[in-house]
Amino acid sequence: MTATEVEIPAKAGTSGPVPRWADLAAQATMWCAVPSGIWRILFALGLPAGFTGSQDPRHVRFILPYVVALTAFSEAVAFLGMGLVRPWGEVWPRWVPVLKGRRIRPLAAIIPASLGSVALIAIWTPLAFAFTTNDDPETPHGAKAIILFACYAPLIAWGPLLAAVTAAYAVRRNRHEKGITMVNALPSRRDSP
Amino acid sequence: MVPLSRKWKIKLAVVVLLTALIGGAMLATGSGEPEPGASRPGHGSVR
Repeated sequence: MTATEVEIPAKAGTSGPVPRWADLAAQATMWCAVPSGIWRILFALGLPAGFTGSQDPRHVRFILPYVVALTAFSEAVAFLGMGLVRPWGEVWPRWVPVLKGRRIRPLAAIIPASLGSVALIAIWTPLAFAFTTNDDPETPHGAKAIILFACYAPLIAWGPLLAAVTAAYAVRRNRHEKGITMVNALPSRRDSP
Repeated sequence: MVPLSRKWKIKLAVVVLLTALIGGAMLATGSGEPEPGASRPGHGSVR
């Protein structure tokens, strides 16, 4: 294979083909935050979630705007993961002022995504063990605890999935960057005798 | 109004279904009684 063959025309606008598993994993990251967001909004709307006493949402001011904002924020963060498998994760889209059309350096995406996945793993992995160790009388128990856990459990997968998608992005961009470097290193036809 | 593609219609349907499922489950399990030891604002803890 020659160096010029490395520059494969990008599929779907990305620099090189995105593995199907990475695309599916990126989409899954968006769905990880959905059940907990729905549960949170229903909880704030006053549906019985099992929180009592000082934890009762009726005694918390501005809980609905807070949970709606929190849910929108978490979904927006989850959506950013899609950039690792879409063209807008490599070149700034047209609607972004000043930066539009500029290439995004791989590390500018890889570093925040890696830090994000580490943070998500650190935040949500303990949840896997929290279900059995809940002895707070004001938090959900029994069936309500199962509902709460079922809605929050997908968040445990968010960090590892994002880490895998980030790794796929890093490999793909690195491969493409190497291809460009090799092409640039080749003597041009005009220079050659 | 922007017409939704089939893909987005399916996604929206899944969100609606999840909302119905979670909301239904929350309602089906009832409001329940506070667990012993839970505090009642202004009333002290439940004994």
